[in-house]
Amino acid sequence: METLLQLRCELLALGAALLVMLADLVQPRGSRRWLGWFSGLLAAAVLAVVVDSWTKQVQPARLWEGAVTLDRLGFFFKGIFILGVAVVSVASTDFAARRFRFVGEYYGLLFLSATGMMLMVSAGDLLSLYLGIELTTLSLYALAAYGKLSPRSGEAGLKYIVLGATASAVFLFGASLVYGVAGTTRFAEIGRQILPWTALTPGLAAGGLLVLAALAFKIAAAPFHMWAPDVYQGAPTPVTAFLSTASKAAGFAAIIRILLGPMLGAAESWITVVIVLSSVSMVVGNLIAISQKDIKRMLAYSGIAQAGYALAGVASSSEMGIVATGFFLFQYLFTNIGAFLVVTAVGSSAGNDEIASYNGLCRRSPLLALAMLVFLLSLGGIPPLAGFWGKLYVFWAAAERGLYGLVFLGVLASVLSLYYYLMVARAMYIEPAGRRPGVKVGFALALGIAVCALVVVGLAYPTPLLHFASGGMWAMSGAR
Amino acid sequence: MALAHPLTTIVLAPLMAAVLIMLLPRRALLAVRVTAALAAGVDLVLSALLCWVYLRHDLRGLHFEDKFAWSPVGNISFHLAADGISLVLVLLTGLVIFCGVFASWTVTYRTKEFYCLLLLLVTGVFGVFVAQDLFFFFLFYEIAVLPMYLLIGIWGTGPKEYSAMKLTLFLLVGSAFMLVGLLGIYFAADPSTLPGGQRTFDLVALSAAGYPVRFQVIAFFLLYVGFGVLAGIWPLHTWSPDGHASAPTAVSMLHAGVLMKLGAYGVLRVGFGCLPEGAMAWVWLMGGIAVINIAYGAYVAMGQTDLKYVIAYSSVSHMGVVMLGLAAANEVGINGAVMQMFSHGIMTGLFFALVGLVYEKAHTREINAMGGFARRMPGIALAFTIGGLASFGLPGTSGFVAELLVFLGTVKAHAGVYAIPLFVIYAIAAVLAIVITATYVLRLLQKIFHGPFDEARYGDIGDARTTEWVTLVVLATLLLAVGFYPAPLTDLIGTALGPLVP
Repeated sequence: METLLQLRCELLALGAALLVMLADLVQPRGSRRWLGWFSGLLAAAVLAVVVDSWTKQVQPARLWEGAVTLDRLGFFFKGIFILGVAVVSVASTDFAARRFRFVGEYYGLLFLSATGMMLMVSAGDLLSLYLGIELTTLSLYALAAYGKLSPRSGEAGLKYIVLGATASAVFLFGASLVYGVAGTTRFAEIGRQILPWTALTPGLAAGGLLVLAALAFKIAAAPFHMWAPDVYQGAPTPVTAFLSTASKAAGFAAIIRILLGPMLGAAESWITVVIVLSSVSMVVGNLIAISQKDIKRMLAYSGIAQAGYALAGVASSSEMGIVATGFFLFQYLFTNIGAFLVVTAVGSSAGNDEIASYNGLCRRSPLLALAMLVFLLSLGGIPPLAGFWGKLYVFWAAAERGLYGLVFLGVLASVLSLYYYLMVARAMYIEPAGRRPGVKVGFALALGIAVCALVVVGLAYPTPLLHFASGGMWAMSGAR
Repeated sequence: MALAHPLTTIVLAPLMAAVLIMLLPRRALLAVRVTAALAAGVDLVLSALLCWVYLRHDLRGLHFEDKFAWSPVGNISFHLAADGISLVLVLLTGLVIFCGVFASWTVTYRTKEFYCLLLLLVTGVFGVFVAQDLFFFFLFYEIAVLPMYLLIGIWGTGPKEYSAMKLTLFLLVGSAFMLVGLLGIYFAADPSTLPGGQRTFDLVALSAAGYPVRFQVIAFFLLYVGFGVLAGIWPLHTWSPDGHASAPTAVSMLHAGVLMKLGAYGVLRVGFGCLPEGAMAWVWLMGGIAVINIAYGAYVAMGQTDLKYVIAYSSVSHMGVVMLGLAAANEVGINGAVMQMFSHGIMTGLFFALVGLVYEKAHTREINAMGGFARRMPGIALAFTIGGLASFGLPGTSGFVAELLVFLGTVKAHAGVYAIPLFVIYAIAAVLAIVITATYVLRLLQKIFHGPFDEARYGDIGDARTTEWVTLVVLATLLLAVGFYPAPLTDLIGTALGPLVP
């Protein structure tokens, strides 16, 4: 019982999933808009527990002989996931009520996937990690295909499940190799077998590489990114918002758990791989994003590039790198969800997601255009918005490790990325509106966008979040 | 609150007003204008108050400090503080934006956005003048520069897209030079000499750090070019006449009146403050280019027939005086340079406001098409004359005080090459170039306001009206007041010179 209580965040998220689905039965017909608010409320309650656990968990703890680890880093990531659920479920209240037949299950699946993500970040064993990944992705497959009326959504779900299952198989294969060589699946024991400053044995190296490849698929890092644009484009936009942020963060959490956990001793061996992943993602993502006409595809490619930036933090293989990556993913959650929520609003009004639908938005819906501008500038890393600090920290960590080439490439890539982010800004602020009508935004969606924008602007003062991301290493006062 | 943190209030008031304006309904034009005027008024009053307090209590060095740790990584802090020079320039900015708001009272196209950007820009300007942290210094600098693209591109006249793009590209290239120089200053400082033993962006700590001479020489050159673009140094000045001529009135006022000073201020604060030996290695070049600026700017201004281009080129010429004073690198010269920044800011603000008025009434900027306007607009003619006299430094105007100090400082400067008294030659050349200024200013006054009046074409023109007077009276009075009694300003500037003279 004592042990189970320590898993209260996961259990509460699971409970919330069931509760929302049960609540759906109370009112079988009608708009059921209240479900979105109800699920947002539940997420807020879970968040409170997560924050409380963060405060209490000063020292890391292990459960079940290390199958599950609990530490502040984990709770920070759990906060990210549950915040994603909270914002997305409130903001998609109208969208879900209008487009989906099974509303309760939609929110339930969001919570279920968050439960999986929480398991992923708590994992201390390849098997518990795999369980977490499967719970997450199975829920997400269903969510991607949730827009039953649109054939694109079905295609997205199918593509996601086929490629995702392949990635799962690759993960299992890699894990079995690791088990075969190391004789264990526990992270701690694998770590003990890796001697610092010596090359990995071929079996461990191959196994580790395959596991890393599978996780690179989860975070949509090039060259494992092919699924992302199609799935992002096809999935219902609020689902894309969740998929592109929380799920990416979960993948990063798993990567950090493995590479900076048991594999830290072998950093010399894997750091090159991560640098390659990072630089290829930055280059490929940014270059292809330039030519996109559909904003969801553009944001998908931008997300690939953003994964590349965050990988620079992982590549630094330092304490600072972990903090920087955590910070980056937190701000990315709000920035990108905010952008996709604006896409939801404009897409519902225009009926498509062409960038041309944003023409003259500043005349038609000035506040919406302003919010989008904030998100785009943050994605582009313009100071003093949240995205700037995220990039500054990951590149700072990489520079402290001496990865100047990667930092240089990253800065160049960021400058390049401004081009396509500003193309959308240009459409909104300079192109004439033509005959397009104003965009009507419901209260819940407007609230979601406003919260995201406020967080992105508020993170211009980064110290409090840095305090949480670093597990209290940097005190709130700011002075070190 | 406001009085406990006066500098933060000064910097943030325009930003808050911009946010407020954004939330106002599109039709509420009067509310938008009044909000902007209130924010500008608060800033003006506060900055005047700070100058008074500073003088009254006989202070020296940095005061009114607000320091707040911002990011532990990189050791960035939100650090604002002002010394005498900062205060004089903050006062100038307050004056120009206050008048600028009234000068753009007649903007009706996308008024909300116009005032938002104008106030955002001014936030950046205030920020640069009082920031004591290199990170925020650069951030405010960019905030001050970037809105210019939209302000000229949307509300400008003539070839506005061309001018806006040219200006932005020039300034961005300048920023790149500057950024490299600033990062160099950050990374080249030896952490063991800094307080706390770690790298910092704090300007006060960095100016005490002491750098190797070879580094200083390279870094100062980068900063000189980077800031120099904005200060309009020849031959990197070509964006400025186009930009000023295309910009709407208030933007020209701010840009020529205040923004160009950011460049000179950056050279002084960061360049002279952190890299004194590097500065001394380049003063010969700064001085030479400054003299070219003065002579070339005045000479080209003489050949212009478009009224706004005349004023724009006169700015290039006057910024040369500022740079010459800095190059003299002694107390008198730098005092004169800052004085000239103030004087030119007021003068050119007045000029651009007047040009805006004349254009609005006569619907032309072609000098040869005008004549005899003094009969119909005596007030405007008087203000224009005062500005013109200040422009070539007639005693009794602020221009005289500034130019006198600069030339005195230049003559006293020690730097010479091969026993040639280089700066004496510079001083003589600059004084001679002022004669050209007198020529074109007097010719301008004569052509516009005197001579035959075309009754048929200009029958309906009149003098300035209601809010337009605010700008003219305030600025013209100041030009004379400072000319007759410059002591408060020169005293204020003098208190800050100690650490900045290389």
